[in-house]
This record gives sequence, C-alpha cells and structure tokens, in this order.
Amino acid sequence: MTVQVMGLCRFSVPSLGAFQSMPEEIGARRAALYDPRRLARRLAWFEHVALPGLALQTDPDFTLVLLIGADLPEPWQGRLRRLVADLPQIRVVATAPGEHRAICAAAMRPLVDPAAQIVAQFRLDDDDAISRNFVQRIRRDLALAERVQGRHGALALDYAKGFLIRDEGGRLTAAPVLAQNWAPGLVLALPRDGGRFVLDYPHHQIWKRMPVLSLVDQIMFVRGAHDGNDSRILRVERGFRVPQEEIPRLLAERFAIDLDGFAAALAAAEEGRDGR
Amino acid sequence: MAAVKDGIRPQIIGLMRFSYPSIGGFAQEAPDIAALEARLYDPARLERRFQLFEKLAMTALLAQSDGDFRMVFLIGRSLPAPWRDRLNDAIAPLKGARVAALAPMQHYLAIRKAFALATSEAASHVTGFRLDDDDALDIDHIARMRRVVAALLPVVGQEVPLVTGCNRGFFLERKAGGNEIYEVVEKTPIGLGLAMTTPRGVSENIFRRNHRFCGQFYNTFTDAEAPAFIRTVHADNDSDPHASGRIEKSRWEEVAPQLEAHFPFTADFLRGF
Repeated sequence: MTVQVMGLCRFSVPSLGAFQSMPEEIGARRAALYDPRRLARRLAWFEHVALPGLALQTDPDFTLVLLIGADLPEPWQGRLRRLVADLPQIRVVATAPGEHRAICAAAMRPLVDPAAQIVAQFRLDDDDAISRNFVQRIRRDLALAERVQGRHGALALDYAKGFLIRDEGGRLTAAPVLAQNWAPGLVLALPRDGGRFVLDYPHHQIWKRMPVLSLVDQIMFVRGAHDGNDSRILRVERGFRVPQEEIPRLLAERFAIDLDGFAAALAAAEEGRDGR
Repeated sequence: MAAVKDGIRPQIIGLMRFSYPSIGGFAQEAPDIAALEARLYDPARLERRFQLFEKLAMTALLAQSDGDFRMVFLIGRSLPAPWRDRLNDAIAPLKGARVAALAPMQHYLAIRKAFALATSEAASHVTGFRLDDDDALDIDHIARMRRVVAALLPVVGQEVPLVTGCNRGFFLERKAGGNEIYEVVEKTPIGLGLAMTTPRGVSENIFRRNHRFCGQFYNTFTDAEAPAFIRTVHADNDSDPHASGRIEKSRWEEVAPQLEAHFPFTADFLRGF
C-alpha cells in the first residue's frame, strides 16, 4: 500500500465560510485577519509551536500545504516564506478568496501523488503542533491497520493524547489532555481515487463516516488556545497524569517546542518588538 | 481458538449479567440485597426479560457465523430454581455457554470472577465482550470481532488493552400498538458487543470503565459500517435509552432488507413480538 502523507495549514486565509467568529463580509474579514498585532501573534505561534515539529519529523516524506491569501501583507508574507524556505516539504500556496473548502481542495489537489493509493491527510492550525514522529506513526499504523479500513477504504487515525497550550494574558500554561476526534491529531486515510480531502469531513462527525481508531499510547499533538482562537476550547474533559515539571521536557522532546522561547517571542510580538 | 500469527491465540468470551444481584451495579440502586433480589426476581419482571432473552439475545447468539466463543451467564446463586432451569434450557444449544452462579458481591469483582472462570489456559489473549440479556448482535459480530482484533493487535501492541466495537445498529422500541424501529449511529461506544482484548491473566476487562469513555482510556476502534446490534428500549431498561450520536425513526419497510440481511429475524417478527 503506497501512502502519501499530506497536511494542510491555513495561515489567516480570507475566504468564504470556515471561520466561526470572523466578520462575514470579505473586506471586513480581511481587515480583521490581517490586523498587524494579530498577524504578529499568529506568526509567533506558527514559528514556535507548529513549525519545529514539522522541521524535525523523523520521517521527512510528507507534504504540508501552507495556504495563504495572495494578498497577505508584508512584512508577514515575506517572514512566513522565509521561515519555511529551507523545508522542501512545505509548499506555500497563495490563493484568491473563494469558498473555503474549494480553495483548500484546489491547493491540495495538484500535490497529490498519482502513485499513491492512500492519501493520509491531516489539518494543522497555525497554533497547533504534531509530534516529531507523527508522519512515521501514520505510515506504521496504516501499514498494520490496512485490514480494518472501511467499505470505501477510509480509516481515521485519531491520536487522542496531547497537550493544550494556553496563552492566558501572556502567561503560558501547558496541560495534558485526552480528547477524541479533535482536529489536531486526527488523520484521515482516504483512497486517492476518491478525490476527497480532509475538509470534506467535519472532524466532529467523523464517527458517522468511517472507522475510527483512537490511539492513546503516545503524546502526539499540541493544541493552542488563546484569545485569538477561532474555535474556543471551553473545557478539557480528561487529562492524563504527568508531573507539571516534566511538561517542558516533554514538549521539547515530542514537539521540539521551547516553551520559554515561545513565551519570549509572544511577549515581543505583543509589544511590537518582533521586527526582523 | 484459531491462532493468528505471532503465536497470538485470542479467546473470545462474552459476558451477560442475567439479573445478577451485585452490590453497586445498577443505576437504580436498591437499599439492600433482599430488596434488590425481590425486585430482580419478581416473576413478572423475569418473565418479561426471558421473553426478550430467548427470542432476541439467544437467537442472535445461536445464529453467529463464527461459533468459536464462550458465553458466560452471570447469575446470582439465589436465582430461584425454576428460572435457573429455564435459563439452562435456553442456553443448552449454545456450545460455548457457561453459567457462573455467584453470591452477591461488588459488581466489578463478580465480573472479573466470571471472566476468570471462563478463561482457557491455552489462550494468549482474552477478548471479552459485553452483552445485555435484552439485546441482539448481528450474525457476523463474533467473526468481525475476531478479524478486527487480529488486524489491530499488531498496531496497538499485544500488552496493552484494545477496545473494539461497532457503532451502527438499531433501537427497537417496544410499544403496545406495534414496535418502532430506529436507525442509530453512536458517537461514543455503545456497550452492546463492545470488547476489550488483553493478555490472558490481566484482570482488567470491558466493564472497568464507562463504555462511553473508553476512547479516553484505551486504544479504541469503532466502525460504523455494518448494522451490528439491535438494542431494545422498554419499560425495564436500567439505563438511558438515548443514543449518543444520530438516531432516526425509520419505516419498517425501508429497513427490513438490512434487518433481514444482518440479523436472524424478519422485520415482521421484530415489529410484532
């Protein structure tokens, strides 16, 4: 079974639909998304939370579509492009506004490997992270789980163990969390010839559509929570036991996240000291 | 006990609590054992339960396409003889049936004892599943369970618990003027047919946690493809009859082909019994 691993990261893309808490009208939405202070914060999350795990994947054989609006202003667009310039797996795609799912599918479609039988797809918000062995685990688990795919060959791998990093007014905290079918940590293994993409399936209703294998054996994702979040995380239903003092080490090992460095970068972004 | 590769020989064991007076197992807790037994062994109640058990649960167990499993019926030692005889008669045709008659004890302890009594020394792993006396499995349930467990043990590892189940099925609501049928897709695992696989000798089993939260404690696989269960909803139900996910009342004629393909019942029978 040939598996292509493909992620989608949307960086403040002005589009129609998608956001739960943004203005409807595209001009107002663009202005809100491209507010410089907001972009500074989001770039700090992306650089210090999402990017390190991508850059240090133990299996480098994956593609990440980094979708931006074609009009993402400078200096942000340049900074973002420079951050990922050395990573051949990250493909920046600039798009004009359009219906959200359609522009995401249009960005992913040309990068689908025609030789792949299964395209294992995940979404990664710019304030979330995947563990360094994420791609490797996907390949390993899919190779072994081939026989439990559903009728149309689809299977969801739900890596349900992770950390929630919260920015509470500049103070960063990290808490262990066990959560099924959250967007971070959820991988949809879909047959390539089905032509379906990750956003065609609402993650919270995935249980209706395909078999789900929830795995709680390894810490696999980080979800960011902060004032600028589109979908607020109201409560953590369940955590797991880990000494608080161990968490920074685990974040570093599993995700290459430096929590102190991130806190400093976030503070700099807040104060407008992040120019470079 | 067909061996799968790597020397893994899982033994499938179902466990059904049949009006067992446990200490602390029922949502509607009775104040003392005597009162609990009086309620559980009320002849009218037992007659109603036997009706569902004999017509639905046992019929579906006997119709399994894969008959290589044990089924343990956990009863109280105090179950009056006529009912115990009736139970023995009902389960006699089922090859793997065993009765575990226990004194009242804490619920999970009794469950562990019952599983232990049924476990074979030859097994490397135990796949223990739960089934209530008023519910029915689809005819491929055991076969699917065996297949899924064999496919997934190499993924999750042989030493840690693996939970497997099916989230698509039917609710059958008993009504005086004709039963109603609902198509259901559960969001969180339904207990019916839910299985936990562990190495033999591990006392943890599928009754350890609230089945709805299994995905937060164990590596958990659920599929929603084949209709895998019929759950009856009736006045005696001990727990909440609502589905966790999608539930739609269906027309009998629309679901009849599915029911008849996956269960040993005709739609007319289910509607009218």
